[in-house]
Amino acid sequence: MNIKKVTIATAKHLFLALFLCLLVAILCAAQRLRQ
Amino acid sequence: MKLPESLFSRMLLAYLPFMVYPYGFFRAGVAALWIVAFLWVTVAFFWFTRRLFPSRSLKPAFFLWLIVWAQAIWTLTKLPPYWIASVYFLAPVSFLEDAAKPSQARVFSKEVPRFQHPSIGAERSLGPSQPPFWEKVKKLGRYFFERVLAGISFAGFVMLLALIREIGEKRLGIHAFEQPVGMWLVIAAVAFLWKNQPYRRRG
Repeated sequence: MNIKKVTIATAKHLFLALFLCLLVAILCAAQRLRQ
Repeated sequence: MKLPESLFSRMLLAYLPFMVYPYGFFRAGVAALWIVAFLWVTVAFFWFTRRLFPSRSLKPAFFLWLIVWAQAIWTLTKLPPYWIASVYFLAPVSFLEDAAKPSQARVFSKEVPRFQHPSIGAERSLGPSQPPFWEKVKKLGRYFFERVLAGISFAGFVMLLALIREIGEKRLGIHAFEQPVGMWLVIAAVAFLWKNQPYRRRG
């Protein structure tokens, strides 16, 4: 396994996790603003 | 289902939810502006972050993004829940996969930045040299200019049809304009004119 490839793949999955967190935060913020 | 690539067909699809909204001219315009603004934000966001996603999860991420924003903006602005359908239809179909097929993402022209190809270490030095910086900026500007133009033309299209509906319903008292059938009639006329544009000689 090329270590560079593994690093890039890990970074991409971390970014995906961040993105999902952002989406959840958006939902929570919208709910909070509405009340 | 294969979605059409041409701008006018996508605009028609995106307009479909507007037919059943009980909106006057002003509220239809506001809804169209919301949709267009969100379309621009989406296109810009995914253009810049596209390569940061794992390639298999890019499309699910795109749909999740649409769904979450649909819910959030629906609760905040009281837009009808189908507003996201318009954004989905307006978004250029293949703009997510243009690393694979760069020539397919188009609104008016076939030109799309080609420098976005993922190139790997050794091939980069062997392959043709990268275009100069200014060329990149110009192509990128062109790409976004086309999206901006698509958004503006959709907003204009919606407002025009809302105006026609208003006039037909209130001033002329035509009952057909209270129902989607009146708008179908207008759209058929618009499509006929669009297809039969007078021949223009170049030069």
